[in-house]
Amino acid sequence: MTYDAEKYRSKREKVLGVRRRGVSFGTLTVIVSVVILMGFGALVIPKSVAWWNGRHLEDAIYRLRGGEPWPGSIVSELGLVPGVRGVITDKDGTRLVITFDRTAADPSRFSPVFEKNRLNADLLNTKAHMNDMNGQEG
Amino acid sequence: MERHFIEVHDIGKQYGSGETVVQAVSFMDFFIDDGEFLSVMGQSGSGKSTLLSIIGGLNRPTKGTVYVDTLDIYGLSSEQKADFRSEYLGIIFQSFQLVPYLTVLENVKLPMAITGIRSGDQKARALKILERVGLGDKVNRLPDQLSGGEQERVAIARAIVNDPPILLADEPTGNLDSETAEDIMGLLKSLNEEGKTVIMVTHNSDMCHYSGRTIFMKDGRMDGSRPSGWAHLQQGFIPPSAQHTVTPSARRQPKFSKPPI
Repeated sequence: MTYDAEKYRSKREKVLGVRRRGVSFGTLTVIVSVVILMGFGALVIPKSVAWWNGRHLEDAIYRLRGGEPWPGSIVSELGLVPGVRGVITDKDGTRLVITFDRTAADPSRFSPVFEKNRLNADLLNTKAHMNDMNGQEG
Repeated sequence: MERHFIEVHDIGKQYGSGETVVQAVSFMDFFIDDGEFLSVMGQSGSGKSTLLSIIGGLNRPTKGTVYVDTLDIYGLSSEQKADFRSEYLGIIFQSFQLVPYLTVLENVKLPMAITGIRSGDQKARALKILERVGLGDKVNRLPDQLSGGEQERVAIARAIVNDPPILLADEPTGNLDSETAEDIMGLLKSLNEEGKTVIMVTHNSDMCHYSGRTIFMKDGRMDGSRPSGWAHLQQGFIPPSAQHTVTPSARRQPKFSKPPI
């Protein structure tokens, strides 16, 4: 029988390595690396963005001297002060947390608002807003 | 120069060194065409198994080389040679070489695991091949629960499951009674008729009439090559130096009926 070089070409190419089988080690390494990086990125990037956006923010925590709950109107009024990013009260309404941009405001800006509403407010603490995000998230 | 599927180029093989050198094979130079059924016949120690292992890339010759499908198999890297064996060769041993603690099906699936065929496909393919060799109802048995002929069929199924174009059979009927041996030879013949190139080593001239050509070996050298169809033996052709290996039974009328496969 005459030799037919084409008959087993695919086998021959496989032996000689002309035809690559499956995924090469290099490709596999790249795929695994990309998957690991994407997973890592999905965990780290949102936190990094949040930190970046909130790095100038600070929280000031107030309480009324008599320990009574804060009136609801003060929340919206404080929200209009330049540099204030958010105002919230705690569950029983006795603590008021003002989130503000420390480059644009400071607690002395809030005193006139309390005085205007005849409220005796005590500043309990100020702390970086990011501490709150990393811990009890809101 | 005309190319052939398998070309054996002036190979020689020595074992040992110094004064204890044994020249197992020397001055072997021949070719085998695609789809041919070749018998290599000779007495024990004539070098036929060494020749078979050299053709299969399993035993590097001390001289010469072998080309299979234009591949110089002794010029291949070890990785390429492993690929060559899995792509081109199916090997059938006299002692079957089945894994005793694996079932028939698992034994046949083994070569596919090496070539990386998906496990789902492995089972379907192994079952098809076992059906082909007549063992479809014994797939879950262990090798020692089978007869010698059945174990040989498992070995053949394992050899052909990756669909290699070449089957190397080293004394495939050496451990079998004559009736079972005829069955196994019929199976090899039908595989050859389906296009596989079969190279069979035997010392039994009764088995040569299944092949298209017989190479006679003596003391590591080629001692004649002739078409080996029954007609030639019937006409009295027996190479002079091989006459002692041809038994009277070789002159029996052969069974021309196709074996049940």
